[in-house]
Amino acid sequence: MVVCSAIPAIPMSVGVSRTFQGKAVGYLLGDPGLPLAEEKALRARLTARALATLSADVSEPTLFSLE
Amino acid sequence: MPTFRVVVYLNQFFGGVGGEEKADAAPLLKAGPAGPGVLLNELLRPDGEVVGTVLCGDNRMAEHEAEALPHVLALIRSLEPDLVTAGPAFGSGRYGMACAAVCRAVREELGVPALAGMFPENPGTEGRDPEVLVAITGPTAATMKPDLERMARLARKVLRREPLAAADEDGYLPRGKRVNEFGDRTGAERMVEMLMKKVRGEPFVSEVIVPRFDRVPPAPAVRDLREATVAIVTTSGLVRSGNPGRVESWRATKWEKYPIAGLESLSADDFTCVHGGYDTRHIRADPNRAVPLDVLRRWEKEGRIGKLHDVLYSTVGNVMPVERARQFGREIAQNLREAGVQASILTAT
Repeated sequence: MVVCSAIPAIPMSVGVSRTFQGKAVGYLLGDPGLPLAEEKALRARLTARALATLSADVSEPTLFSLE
Repeated sequence: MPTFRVVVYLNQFFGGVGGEEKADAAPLLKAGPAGPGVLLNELLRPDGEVVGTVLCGDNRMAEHEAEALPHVLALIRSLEPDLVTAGPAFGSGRYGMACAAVCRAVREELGVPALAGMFPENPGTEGRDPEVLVAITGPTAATMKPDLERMARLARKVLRREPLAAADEDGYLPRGKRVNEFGDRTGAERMVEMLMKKVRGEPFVSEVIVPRFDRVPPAPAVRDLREATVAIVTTSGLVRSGNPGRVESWRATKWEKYPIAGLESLSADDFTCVHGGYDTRHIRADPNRAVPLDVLRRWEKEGRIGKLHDVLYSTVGNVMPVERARQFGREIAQNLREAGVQASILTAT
């Protein structure tokens, strides 16, 4: 399981193994400031990276982000 | 005042039946006090009297609880107790689990108050019934006398229906209850005083109990998502339009599951957001911002993921007590396991 959170300090503090940095609390996997097509592309990039963390070997709580 | 009737639950060892070789001993009733109950009986006078002792082997209870527990309960019931005490189990795991099970059953099924004695790290204290009082004991029977004195003090208070002092004062494990009280100094004053002590390196006791979190070993990596069933779980507060399940906007008491088979994306007509801890308008306008169903469905069709699980699991993660989060997590994980899901993405906010 990967937890996507805009405030990764919370899942990290409770020991979640894989945490992925979301965009913002109010739009975790999106951005209402972007045109719809660009927002969808951003969501695809974020979601792809979040899913990819599931294939990563981790031994302790680890934070991943898009960059 | 009439003398209250107390029944003591003990394992085979403390009950005098025998050691490990007798750990399979069937439930048994002895009249009057036995083992630690002898001293407890003396300490409880004149308010209470140990009218009987119910024994059961630790292995019997651990391995055949379905038969042993009702039997124990029937024996206890026959003595018409006003209070049941169990142990002290000290640090003994099997004994502690048995005491916890007996106390819970006594409270739930007989409606009689129950008091156990255990070392705080005894596994029997995990997931305990918050209405069962657990007196803190040492890890071994070396502290039997002071531990029984503590149990007797608590027992007397329960029998006389006297209010308990705070957990650390009365020597029992916290039950998650808060009691309002008047202080002579404001929170700001107390906080600054604590801060100054911290700066000076002096000991202080926080007024906020920091919950303990599990350290869960990370799940192994999913080698090939193209062959995995992937599920979506969310604590973002996404619910069906109109919130028919009445999921609370904070301190939610329930989680829901929504069928998403055949859905290409989440429609703002069908879903809304009831999370009370953030500005939800962007999620309500496009729920895919919280739950990326549009992306994941496309990838399922393209073969980038094996299958998207047909059910979406959702709750509100706002001001969620840790213990409840743990329970929800267990329940949802059980659902995922039964559905053969190998990977999941949990969107929190």
